[in-house]
Amino acid sequence: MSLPAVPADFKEDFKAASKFSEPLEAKVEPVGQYFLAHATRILQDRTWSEYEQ
Amino acid sequence: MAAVGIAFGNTTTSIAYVREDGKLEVIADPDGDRFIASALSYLGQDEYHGSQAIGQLIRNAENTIVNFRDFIGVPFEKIDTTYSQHSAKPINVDGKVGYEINGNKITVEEVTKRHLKKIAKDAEDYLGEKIEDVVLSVPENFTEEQKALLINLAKQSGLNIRQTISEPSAALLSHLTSEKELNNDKVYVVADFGGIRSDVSVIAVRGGIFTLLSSAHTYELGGNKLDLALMDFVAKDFKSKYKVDALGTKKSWAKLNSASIISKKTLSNVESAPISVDALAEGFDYNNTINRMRFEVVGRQVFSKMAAFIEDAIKKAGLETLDIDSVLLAGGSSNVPKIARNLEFIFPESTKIIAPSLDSKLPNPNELNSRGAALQAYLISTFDDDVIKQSLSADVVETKQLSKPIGLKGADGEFITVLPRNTVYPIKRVISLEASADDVFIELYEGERTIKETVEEPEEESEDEDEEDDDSEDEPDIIREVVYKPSKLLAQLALRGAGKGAKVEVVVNIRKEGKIQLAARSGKVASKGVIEA
Ligand SMILES: Nc1ncnc2c1ncn2[C@@H]1O[C@H](COP(=O)(O)OP(=O)(O)OP(=O)(O)O)[C@@H](O)[C@H]1O
Ligand SMILES: [Mg+2]
Repeated sequence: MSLPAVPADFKEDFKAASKFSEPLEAKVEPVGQYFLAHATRILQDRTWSEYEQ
Repeated sequence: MAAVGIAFGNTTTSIAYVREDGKLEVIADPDGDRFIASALSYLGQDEYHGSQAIGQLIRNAENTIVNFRDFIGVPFEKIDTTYSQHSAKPINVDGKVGYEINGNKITVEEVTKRHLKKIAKDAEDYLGEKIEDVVLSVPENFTEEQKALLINLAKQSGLNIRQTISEPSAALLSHLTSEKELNNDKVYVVADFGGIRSDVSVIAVRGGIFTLLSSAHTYELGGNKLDLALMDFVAKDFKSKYKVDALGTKKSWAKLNSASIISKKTLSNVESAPISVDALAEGFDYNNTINRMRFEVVGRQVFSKMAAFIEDAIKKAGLETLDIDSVLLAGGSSNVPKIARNLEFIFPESTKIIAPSLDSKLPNPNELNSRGAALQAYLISTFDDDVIKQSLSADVVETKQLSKPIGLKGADGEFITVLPRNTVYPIKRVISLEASADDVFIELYEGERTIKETVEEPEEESEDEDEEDDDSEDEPDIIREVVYKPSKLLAQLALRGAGKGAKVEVVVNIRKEGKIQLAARSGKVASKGVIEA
């Protein structure tokens, strides 16, 4: 897989076009190491924000 | 202390643990069974458990309790007693399900406790240590009340259930961990064909996180239906030979049922199996051999309903078979080779069917739930109860996910997926691509699902064994596949001076609020930008 060339008329370095579509809200299954990493991150965030208050 | 997982089914219970060397093992009971029958039987003062209890179904059916797991926490008026016809009859005990054994009333809760105690005791004898902490797999559609009750019953049996996980997640976790595939973003169907029920779940795996897209449950399909089909076949044969009804008495029914189960299981491994019952009915013996093909004809309706049941669950998720990367077969009945073969037929070639009859290195599908539960038990063994509880709270399990895939437009205009639909964010992902020019263009898009059809002229196929596709012989095959196309443009980024042929790393970082940071880097050059939420 490769990336195309910059078109001649694109002069700037970056241009934002639009936001991504409305997200889904869904429950995830509480299993596996990646879920636990996700949970740990959120719980740590929560602890930090409680700590900062 | 071993990390233990228990899968408690209506038909069998299995218990697995992670050994010190990190390997998973499913524990055998003293009879050598790794799938211990969820059955209790009483004869006078004696209590029988497991296969010994099942053995009592022939002579002592009214005091033998089977198929009770799904009655836990369900009021008596609401239960379906279809699968209690040939064993102890459920009765109403203060609104709860119970049984009358030797004149004593016993609730399903008490039965469950006795069963779990027995399982735990046998496993402890085997392990030589006490089991304390357990993860239990439960049906995906068990209610919160049922789960809470089961946890409580287990506690009273001396088992500390640290977490319950759904059966399909357990099975999938087991498979993906052993194949080291947790990190591959794929959509799975987990099809669990058990004894009296079957369950199908469609699960998206993204960055190792599982999201249930749909599920379906039925009591109309399961190994029991295959047993009945086989029994029916024998009964017809028996009738034509002896003019006697082989299913006429409770005892002959139970005898034939038991023999049919054995033959059915044998046929999963070999091409033909004896089916023999001494004094089946009115003193006549039955001795025959059945081959796999006959069995597949006998069970044809059941097999095609199983395939249709899977297709329905996929539809329920708003998907087609084309969208499914893999089908994981779980449950005891998934040992039957015909099930996997039918699935190869209804799914496109791009879908992988995971079944032991197609890959002999795979574990018995009946072990997947307990193995997955044991893995989870191992993973949480270092976590405090409080942390586990918090990790199940709404702000952890309820997530925001991408509703459309996000990716890049490649040099040929194609969509290169970076983050598929159902990816939970915040997330950061890096992909590596080649520069087709000195200055490269990184266009971030949302992808749109399209179906690509290619006509493939039939080639001379090697005549294998198959029966089904005779009539489609000469027509060209239309191969359909899902292809994502770039649709909504999100951002454009130039990386100048990368150098043709160089490796470019693109980083897509979606923040909690929905802001996207897009960055590219190659050697010394770098470029970046932000799409505000
Ligand atoms: N090798 C085999 N070949 C064919 N069928 C088998 C084999 N092993 C077990 N079975 C069947 O699998 C069924 C039991 O499956 P399993 O142990 O997964 O059920 P369970 O989860 O306990 O019950 P349920 O799903 O109904 O609650 C039985 O019908 C049994 O006869
Ligand atoms: Mg089951």
